[in-house]
Amino acid sequence: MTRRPFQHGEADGLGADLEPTVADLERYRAESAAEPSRGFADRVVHMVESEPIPRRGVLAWLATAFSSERGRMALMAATVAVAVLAVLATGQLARLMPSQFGGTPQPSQSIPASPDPSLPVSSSPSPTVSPSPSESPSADPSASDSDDDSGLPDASDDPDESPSPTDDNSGPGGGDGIGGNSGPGGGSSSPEAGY
Amino acid sequence: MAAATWHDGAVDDRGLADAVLAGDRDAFRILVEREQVAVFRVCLRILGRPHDAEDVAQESFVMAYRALGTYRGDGALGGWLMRIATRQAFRRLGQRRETSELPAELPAELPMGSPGSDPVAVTLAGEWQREVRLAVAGLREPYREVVALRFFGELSLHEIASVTQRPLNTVKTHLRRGLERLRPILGREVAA
Repeated sequence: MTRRPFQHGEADGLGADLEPTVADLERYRAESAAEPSRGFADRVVHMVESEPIPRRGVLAWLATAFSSERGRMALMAATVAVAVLAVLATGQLARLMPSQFGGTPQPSQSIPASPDPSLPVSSSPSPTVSPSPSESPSADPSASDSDDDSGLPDASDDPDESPSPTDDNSGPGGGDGIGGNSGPGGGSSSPEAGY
Repeated sequence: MAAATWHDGAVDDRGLADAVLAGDRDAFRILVEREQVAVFRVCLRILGRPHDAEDVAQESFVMAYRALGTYRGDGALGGWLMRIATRQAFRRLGQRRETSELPAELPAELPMGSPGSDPVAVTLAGEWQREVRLAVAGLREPYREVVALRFFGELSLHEIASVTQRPLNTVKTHLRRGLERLRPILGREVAA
């Protein structure tokens, strides 16, 4: 180890205008040539006695990196970041899963089955539609309390099932929610977008 | 094997580090006794308070012990240790600033100067020392590190290049730029 005063030729390109600055730093260095108190080395060695033998390689790097408070904070931050990413990824999965297995997706599949327009020709769907209104009156009594939702009952079931999807779509589906019934719509938002 | 050779005094830093890694505590004591003054001084020059400097120097040795397995042996062990101490000292200085800049700092500094008996000179010397410390501490990295290692740690530019794993010319440039940034603050009152 070299312990020596600064020589001006050490660093290339140091102008004479920097000499006073160097002189100040050198003066400060010379005036602060103190020594540690007696027994300093003993205290350090004593502190180290309780430490395990240092490790080599990657283990040493990891042990060093996470031994300090800053290292532990970095580890914690990384853990939180991974957890957030995992939650987001899970959310995306949850958003995709119901679209394949839940009730909402059916509409979305029925829409792509837009061959319906072509079906009207077969007229088989129309009979199926007419009976459903006839059943609705019979359903009224049972659902009479829910007249408020009179238009919703059909949809209310959907929303009951679809809340999770609508929550997933919270952004887009939020407003559409009921009116759009669209729950289907909510679910079908992507199909709509597809259109 | 390595542990048996460093006692001869003919072993290099790598051998000393290997001995410590093999569990030889005496080898670590040799390292501490060899480097304690330099490490303490660099901490004192950055922090200004002997008590804090000793505290940080101890921390630095313990940290170096834990991290000794990462020492590659391509530079001086003392320089490697000096870099750890410099970083620790600047970190402590930052923490001290965050809590409070204590006005009680001055009296603790006085023993490190050469104040004589004139209280006015003592006060002026303390003020000037504080100014130098704050000026260097206020530099941006990597200029601060290079200036501190050269003038506070007394490493040569070659050693700094080795320790920081930067080309020598880069270190020289960093030093020059650091000094240029210090010029408006230092070098004004050399006559004082």
